[in-house]
Amino acid sequence: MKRNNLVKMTVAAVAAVATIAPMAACGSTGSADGKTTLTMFTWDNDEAMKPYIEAFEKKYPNIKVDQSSAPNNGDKDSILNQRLSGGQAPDVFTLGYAGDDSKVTGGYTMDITNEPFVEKMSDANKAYESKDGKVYGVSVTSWESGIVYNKDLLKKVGADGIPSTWDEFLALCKKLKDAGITPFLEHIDETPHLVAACVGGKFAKEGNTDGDLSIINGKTTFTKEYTDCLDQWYQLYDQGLESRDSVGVSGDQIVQQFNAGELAMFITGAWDFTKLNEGGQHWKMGLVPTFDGGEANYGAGSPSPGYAIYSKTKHADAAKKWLEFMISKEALDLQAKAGNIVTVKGYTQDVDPGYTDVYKNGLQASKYYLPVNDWGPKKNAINTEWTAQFQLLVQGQQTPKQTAENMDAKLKSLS
Amino acid sequence: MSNQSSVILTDKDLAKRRRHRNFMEDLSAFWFLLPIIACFVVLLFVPLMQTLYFSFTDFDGLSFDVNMVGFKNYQKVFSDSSILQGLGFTLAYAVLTTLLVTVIAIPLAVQLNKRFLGRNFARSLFFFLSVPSAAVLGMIWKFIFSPLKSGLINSILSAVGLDPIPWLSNSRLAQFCVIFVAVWAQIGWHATLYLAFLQSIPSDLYEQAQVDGASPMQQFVHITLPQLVPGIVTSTFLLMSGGLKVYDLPFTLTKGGPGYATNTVSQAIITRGIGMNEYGIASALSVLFAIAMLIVTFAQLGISQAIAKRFE
Repeated sequence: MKRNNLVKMTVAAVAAVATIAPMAACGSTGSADGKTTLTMFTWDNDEAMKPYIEAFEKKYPNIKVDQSSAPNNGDKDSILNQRLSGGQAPDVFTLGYAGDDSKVTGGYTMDITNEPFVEKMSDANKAYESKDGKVYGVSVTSWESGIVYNKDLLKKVGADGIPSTWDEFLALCKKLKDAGITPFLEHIDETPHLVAACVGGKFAKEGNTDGDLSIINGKTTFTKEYTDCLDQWYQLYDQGLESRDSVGVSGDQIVQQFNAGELAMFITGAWDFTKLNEGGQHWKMGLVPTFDGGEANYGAGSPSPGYAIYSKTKHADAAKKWLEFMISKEALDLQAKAGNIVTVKGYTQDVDPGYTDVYKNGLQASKYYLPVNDWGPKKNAINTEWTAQFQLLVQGQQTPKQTAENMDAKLKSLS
Repeated sequence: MSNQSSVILTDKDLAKRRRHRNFMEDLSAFWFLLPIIACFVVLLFVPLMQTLYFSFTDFDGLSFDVNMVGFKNYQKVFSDSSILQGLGFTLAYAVLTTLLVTVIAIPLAVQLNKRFLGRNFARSLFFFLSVPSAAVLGMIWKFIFSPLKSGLINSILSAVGLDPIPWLSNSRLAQFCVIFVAVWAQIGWHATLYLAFLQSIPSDLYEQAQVDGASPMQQFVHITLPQLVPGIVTSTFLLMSGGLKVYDLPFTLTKGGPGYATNTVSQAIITRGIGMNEYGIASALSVLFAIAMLIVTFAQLGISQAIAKRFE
């Protein structure tokens, strides 16, 4: 009996230790083999990050990168915020627009203003990663979307490119539809790029340098600034030129449809060039047509998110080495190879031939705008509401003016 | 001669000794239960109290320097249309998946309990539907239900000369798709649960019923169903509680759209709290939802127990 009890107690003790032991691994940092482990959280997935990490680790054999990622949507903020508030902050993380980012205002991001590599950033990229004169991140690329078109399908209706005005673009869509070709598709899981382009062009023509910030600050309203653009953009659906089913479609599905030769045009950026080149269609990208009342050649675009360092990191040297590496020629060459557009001082690249027009006349001329950059600390809430409102508009459940009015009501409720 | 004095125990002494013995037994039980009680307090009770506290503050999830805002967060919950829509769809989802899975899984289990060629394969196949995670199922069915002509179902419809259906771009159809996938994924698991209960029903009950001239339907209604009541109670409880806190399937399939048509309470809590740094509002929603779930759960258990007693 005593031996049985002893055996039972031993088994129970071993089981208890086995249950608790794995928890000791939680939160453990540091290296097992003398290397510094640099933890990183990015918006780009493992496949996209692999070339940079391999090159960095080759350059710095004593640093091992432990990278994790989340898609560039609401998930990324959820996951990173959880890690920051839970004491599991990564050493380096992707930083979007620094002006209103809670990671900057909350003191979670290191001030890197005086680091030597910061001077290499272009003025637009530096401003994007700055707040109150201090720089918090390194951003090396920018993007501007344009309208990708299937040259062969457009040729069938006698067109050889994207028209220069919006009315001409609608007429082209009608010609394609009459010829039995699906003219255009866009995914409605974010603010449509065409609307952003229209609004950006409108602000530029009016000389409004505050953009949507003037709406957030109460100087004007979404109804006043957006209704006209929404009316023009909505013609695509009102005239039956674009399927209302675009509400339930993802960007990848649209690319698949284009690559299958079943779609004449869609709007995207350099991130889809690899898929387009593998798709086998003869494609090119044109600038977004000029909307009525707006400046020409404007598109949706922005400096791209960069990398920032956690303010309380224990691996500041390694983290700074990462930032310095990401703005070095070696990393910039990798960016260019991946199809990203580098906008760093002194760096030139050959862009994909299909992108030349948008690159020269749009991106290099800084003719791009992205409303979310001006939405302030409540941008996630506004973005979520805008997406829902656009979907309801496309479904035909409300008018463009009602959509803008609903956004004003939402903005008021957030204050 | 014995030195022991005789002890006469009164009833009061016996009762006292009994109480002391019971207390010692309870104390032993308490020490064994202490670890799980500690886990409950640390992992459940403390976060619950924290959530309740944060629901009265403007906590943003990053800084603990918070201000009390009274019932402002609760007012916002009741006035936010996206949250109210989420609540409506969540309730509809939970009730419909519970009903549909139950109605389909029971006859399926009855069929799988019969002898036929390939019975084991059929049982494995249906159970396999519940193996992949709901998030993965959402991504797969998003392609199947794509409203474009290139979507799997629409391409089949096009091949037979029919028009494509706007599965995920129409609000009602999107809701149907979410519920369809949920039912599809769960019938196998719940049929397996009912199968286990069916196999415990004594076969002589059916033999006696046959001798008495009962038809298969009569046997099902008067023998099978009453014997399945404990299984039904378990299954519907799991379906209802799982349905009310659903998040992964609607999120990966439709991201809560179009508009807020397939928004769920869990998605609203995560989006508002973690995504938008509005932990105060998310906490208020969590508290209200927890209360609602308790009411629904107790009501369901009460009804189930009444039905179970009816068939005892």
